[in-house]
Amino acid sequence: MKYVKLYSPGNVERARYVQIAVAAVAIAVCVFVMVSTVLGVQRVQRTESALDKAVFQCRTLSRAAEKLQEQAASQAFLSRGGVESFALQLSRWSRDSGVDVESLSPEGAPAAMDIKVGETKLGIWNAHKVRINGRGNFVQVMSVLNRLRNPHMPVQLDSVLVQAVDSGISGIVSFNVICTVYEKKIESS
Amino acid sequence: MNRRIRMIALFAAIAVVAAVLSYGCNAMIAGRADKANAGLISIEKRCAAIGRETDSAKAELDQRQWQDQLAKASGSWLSVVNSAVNCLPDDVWVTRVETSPKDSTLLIEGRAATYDSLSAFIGGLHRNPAFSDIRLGSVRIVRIGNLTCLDFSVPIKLSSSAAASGPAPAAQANAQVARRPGA
Repeated sequence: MKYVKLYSPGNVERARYVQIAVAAVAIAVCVFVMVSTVLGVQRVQRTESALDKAVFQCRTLSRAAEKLQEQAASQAFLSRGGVESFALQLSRWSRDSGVDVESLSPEGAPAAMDIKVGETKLGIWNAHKVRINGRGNFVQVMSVLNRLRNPHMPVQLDSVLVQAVDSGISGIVSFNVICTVYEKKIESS
Repeated sequence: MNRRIRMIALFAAIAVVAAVLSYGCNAMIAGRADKANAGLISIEKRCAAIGRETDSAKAELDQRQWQDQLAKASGSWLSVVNSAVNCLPDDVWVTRVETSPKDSTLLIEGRAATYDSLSAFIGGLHRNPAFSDIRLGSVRIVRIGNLTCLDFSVPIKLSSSAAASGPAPAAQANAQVARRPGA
């Protein structure tokens, strides 16, 4: 039986190689630890900086939205338009002014339009041409028509014909007005 | 030899400690990164919700702006009619006022007691900057009982500034209205 000495020159040489290998592994592990830690910290810093930026933007947006909402809420109820609501509105105005509205009739089929103001799309609206006939005192008729300067609904005066019924002596006139009344089209799902 | 073995053990221990530290650091960093990411996602969701609210409020305000433009266009014609009627002398009265948005004209028919009053009326119209082309269309002498009157018609062309704010151009200029194909 052959006994090998522990401290033989061969074992000493092997131990040297093992020492070098272990040292190399330890250095590699240390480098990996440092690199991965630095990279991780950088990633966290980037995410946190993006978070801070997003929080700031969110606050700015929130303030702007609040201001816009307050502005929108401070104004009168927004009408969706339509011939029926216009007829109702007109009957109120004419009753207040003592003007007779004899007829209010839509002319032809409504035209569907894509309404866009600046960059904002307001959606599809039906434009109805409406002819209104009636009679009354000239001043009162003009006061009813002047209500179209602030109708609180999407309506536009297209043309006006005012004619005296008795050569203009009594001040009574008949009127024939054409308006375009818009109505928000509700998309059927 | 013993020194070498001790060194090997030391290096191995360093490697193990470094590996444990790395695991711990990475776990801590990952936890912090996950927290930040979750916060970011939540903020992004909130921003998107605010964006939707802003768009809705903006659309409402833009609709009001459009309605105001329509009302302004209506008002410009009413102002034209009012300013023409305000030029009437005491002995001239109007029997018919008709607007024609297509060619930006206004037709006034009426009755005057004398040529002087009719001339004063037309002079008053000339002084109004809203009207550019005013001419006497027709004059006819009529007798009502013992009175002699003049029936007249005055077609008026609106000046370019007044016509530009009239209904037809305003609808195109202020709101971009596109007729849908097939509508």
